[in-house]
Amino acid sequence: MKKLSRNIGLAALAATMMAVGMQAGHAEDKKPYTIYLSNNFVGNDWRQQMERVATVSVNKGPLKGRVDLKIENVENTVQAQINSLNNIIRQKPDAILVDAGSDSALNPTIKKACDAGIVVISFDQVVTEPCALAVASDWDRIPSVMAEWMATQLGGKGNIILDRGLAGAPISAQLQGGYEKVLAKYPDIKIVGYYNGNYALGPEQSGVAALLAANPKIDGIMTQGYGSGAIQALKDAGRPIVPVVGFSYNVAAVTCAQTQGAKCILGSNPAYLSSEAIKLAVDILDTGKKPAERSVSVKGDFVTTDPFESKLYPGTKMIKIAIGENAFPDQAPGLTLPITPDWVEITAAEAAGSK
Amino acid sequence: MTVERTAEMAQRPAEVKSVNPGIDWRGRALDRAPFLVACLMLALIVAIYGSLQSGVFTLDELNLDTAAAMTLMLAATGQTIVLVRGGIDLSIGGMISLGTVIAATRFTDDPSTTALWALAILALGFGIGALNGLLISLLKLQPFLVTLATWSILNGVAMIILPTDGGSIPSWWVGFASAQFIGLTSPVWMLLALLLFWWWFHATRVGITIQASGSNEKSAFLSGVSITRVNLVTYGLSGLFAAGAALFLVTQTGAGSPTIGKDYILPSVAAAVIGGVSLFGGRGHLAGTLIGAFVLTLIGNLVFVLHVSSYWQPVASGVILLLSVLASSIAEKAARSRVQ
Repeated sequence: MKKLSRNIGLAALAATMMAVGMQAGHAEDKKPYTIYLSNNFVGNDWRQQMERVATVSVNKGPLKGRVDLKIENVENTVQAQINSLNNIIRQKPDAILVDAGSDSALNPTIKKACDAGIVVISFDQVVTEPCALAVASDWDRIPSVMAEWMATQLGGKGNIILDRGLAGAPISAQLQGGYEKVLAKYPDIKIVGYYNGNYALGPEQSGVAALLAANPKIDGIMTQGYGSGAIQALKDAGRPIVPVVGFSYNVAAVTCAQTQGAKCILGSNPAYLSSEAIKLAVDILDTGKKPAERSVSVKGDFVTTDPFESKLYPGTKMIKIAIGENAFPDQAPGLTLPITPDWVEITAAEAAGSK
Repeated sequence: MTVERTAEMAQRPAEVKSVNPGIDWRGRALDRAPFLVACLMLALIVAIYGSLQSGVFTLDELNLDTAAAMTLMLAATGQTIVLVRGGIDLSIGGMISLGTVIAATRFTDDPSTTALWALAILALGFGIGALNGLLISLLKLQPFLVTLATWSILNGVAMIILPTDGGSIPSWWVGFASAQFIGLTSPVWMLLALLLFWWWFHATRVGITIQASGSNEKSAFLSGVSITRVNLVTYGLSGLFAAGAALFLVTQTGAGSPTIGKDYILPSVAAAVIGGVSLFGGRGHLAGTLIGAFVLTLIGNLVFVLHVSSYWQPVASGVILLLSVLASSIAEKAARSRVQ
């Protein structure tokens, strides 16, 4: 009886293995999918890292040998991206991934690609054309969790200053609104000043410095940028290092880790959105099934000195900042953290292109 | 009468003929050198492109590439008229943006409403252009500065109407760009219409006067040409074509964009210069400009099929521009030495 059950068990195991083996064999036999990545702009660290991790993630891990990835950059004009997409469509690829220069002006071209039977996934700067999927970070979750963290750090009480980002940019208004909405639930937290950080270190540092001079008591700083500029301004003014909210650039994580007494939470718009878009494309091509919702939100882990349990978004993952593991003093300051999705292992050096 | 005589005088080939009654083949070839160089470049690009990509020598390819280049072609048509007049028009960037946002916020599924708004956009284009011309003449200001200012104003107005990309264009308007008639899509017919327009326009009294005042403003003025009226029409037409470019552009984008126009300002000048239009006025032909627009557009296709970095596109455009300017300058010098 025992023997029989063991035999059944073994048989089941063998069958499973065969099935897995067959599946793997099946996948490897197939010609790799031709996937184009159309990117409208390469002028910042994030876009370059995005392209590097896209390439790395089809050269190792589960997607190795499965994708023939071609990256097409255009010089930041809508017309150029339309023309480039038209060229791509004529190659009849299996899928096109688009980081778009405009959320609406590519729509007729993208519709054309969909009509030609090509799987189209927009990511990062997504498009409104319904036939294309939209892979992006959850921009409601990020500011909410960060504001909640700040309120927790302050015990629901204190004076804070807030970064308005870049005047006129939709994402700036969204982040500011997200911060303010959560902070409004804490009547004892007061926003005593605003500055425009412009997503650059200089304006962040000078904006914070000016507000520090005007306000003798500041208990927390909500930036939309690096956060390290705010910490530098605190140091320069000889003020205590108060909790800081920012975004997960390597320089911010390193500064938080190396500054005595610093407390930070860094939200992430991971550069591996490209890898996630590629994986989604392969899944759709393998199964022939699209996700039910066209919006697919990628939840990049928060990087923080003080992990906490979010009540607004239960189960939100927090990574504790650790030099060498997720903060890299020897890598580029503009590297976006975290580096890798969980289904493939991309190293910091690969993401930074420094190996 | 005086106008016509001046115009005749200003046309160098006529002068050359009077100096040398025989057919001056060398002179003619030199005069057309910039245009011939542009044709050669286009032929070369098409040849390389055709050897790397199948189906280049088909009507489909012509349809696709003309649609890709048509916005630039329309913008560059206006720019060519202004350049021949001896000016420059930067405000087309603002007019194109403004045109797309008005279209994206006002066009409806009702064809008659949409047609009225389209006409309004064209009229606005002519009106704003004419205003540019008036300011340049009455205030005696540099075209560069006046049109820089109106570009900025129009840009701002476009942002007020539609702060970010969006709005919507009815699908039947978008479908216009792919509508076919005897195997050719509407952009190809528009291309032919532009050539016909120029063939007619450059020989009209207005066309001749514009060229004459571009060649030598003082002598044109002395022979009774109203410079104000010339400028009004020149810049008015430029604004009109910019508005046309906006109306075509929305067939490609299906949306309005308050910033998109700036992408056509310098390329419109570049297309004209590649096509042999002189930046100093008085010389140029629309056929050259249209070839220049094709060259600039096809460089993008070439970069794509060659699988090289997209950074090569601006490099190639720049090299081609330099070659064209060189050809123009040789032709210019040769023409001057023959006149002397």
